[in-house]
Amino acid sequence: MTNKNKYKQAFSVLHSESNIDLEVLMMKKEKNRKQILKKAGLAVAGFAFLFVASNGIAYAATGSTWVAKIVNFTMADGSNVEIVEENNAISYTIVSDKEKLHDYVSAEEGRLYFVLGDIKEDVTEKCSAQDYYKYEYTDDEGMRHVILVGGTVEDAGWAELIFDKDGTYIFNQMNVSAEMPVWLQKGMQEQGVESGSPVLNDDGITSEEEFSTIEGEQ
Amino acid sequence: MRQSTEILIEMYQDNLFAVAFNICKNGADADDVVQDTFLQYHLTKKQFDNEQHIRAWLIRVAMNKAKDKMRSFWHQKSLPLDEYIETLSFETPESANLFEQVLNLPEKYRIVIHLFYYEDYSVREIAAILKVTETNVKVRLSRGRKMLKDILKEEWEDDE
Repeated sequence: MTNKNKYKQAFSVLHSESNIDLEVLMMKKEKNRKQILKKAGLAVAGFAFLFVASNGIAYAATGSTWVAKIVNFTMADGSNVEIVEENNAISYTIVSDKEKLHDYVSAEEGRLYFVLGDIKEDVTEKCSAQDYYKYEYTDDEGMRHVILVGGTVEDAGWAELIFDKDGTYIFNQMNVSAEMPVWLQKGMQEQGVESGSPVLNDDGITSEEEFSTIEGEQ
Repeated sequence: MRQSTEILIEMYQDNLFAVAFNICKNGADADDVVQDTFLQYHLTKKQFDNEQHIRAWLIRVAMNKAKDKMRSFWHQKSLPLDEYIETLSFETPESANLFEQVLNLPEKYRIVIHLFYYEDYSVREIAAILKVTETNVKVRLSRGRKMLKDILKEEWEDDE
């Protein structure tokens, strides 16, 4: 038997288990884009809040489950995020006040604005399909929030990246029309949240080249 | 040209799953990648030269999405790899061993090996899909083969 036959025989055991329903997938995508955040996982949140009085990391035991780690913090838009790690699985709950939710970017009369609280800054010249504007702050609990706004007036988007006190990238939320626009890839890379840094590997290519994503094919 | 997404799902769902699994090593993440890839095809207005162009595009998108999944903080809850492998029905113990050893290869070799041995792509075609040089593909293929040969011994032919 040739190597190809052996390989095919070995990998022919892999079968996708998903029943793909395009209509359902499209609805999900649209839902994500509009960022309709629901109060989810209340069962998790219910016991988690007993142990987490404030932002930070806690270790807790529940009646039936060992909860290894709980992280609780507030996004720039006021949404409360709780991350729970238990039994080697991570789940998270986002609780938002829909009335307060808003995009960090707004397009008005052909101009792009970064909007956050009282801040409204014209970032039109700083943003394009390839370029982004960055706003950064550290909250009272030491979480660093990096908000990236990019794209064009016709297709603008934003992403908020959260880094904990140790500088570890722990969470993000974003609202972009494409899966990963170029400006966002660039912004994330510059925040060091891509896998690896652009150092030469033993094939003489950079990890950035190796993992590069072609616009329109991601 | 365009082809109906439903037909492509029938034709390539398992192939894309295998490509994604090769990168993610996680069935649930690989299923997510497959769904996202077909959804992207469904939504794109891109025109293709022929069916092979569509297939290569799907594989490329699936690979990119799988790599993004690996970078992401969030992963679907799934069986650990060794437990997942135990659920698979291999025809022979040698097949199970080959499967496991391929997944132990570094990702850059694994992908090239998979495209060559499973998808039957040539070095030139793999270079085009990965956007790297043919020399680079040859190097990766050669190193991957050598690693497999060193581990699998007589279970893997020397096809350099």
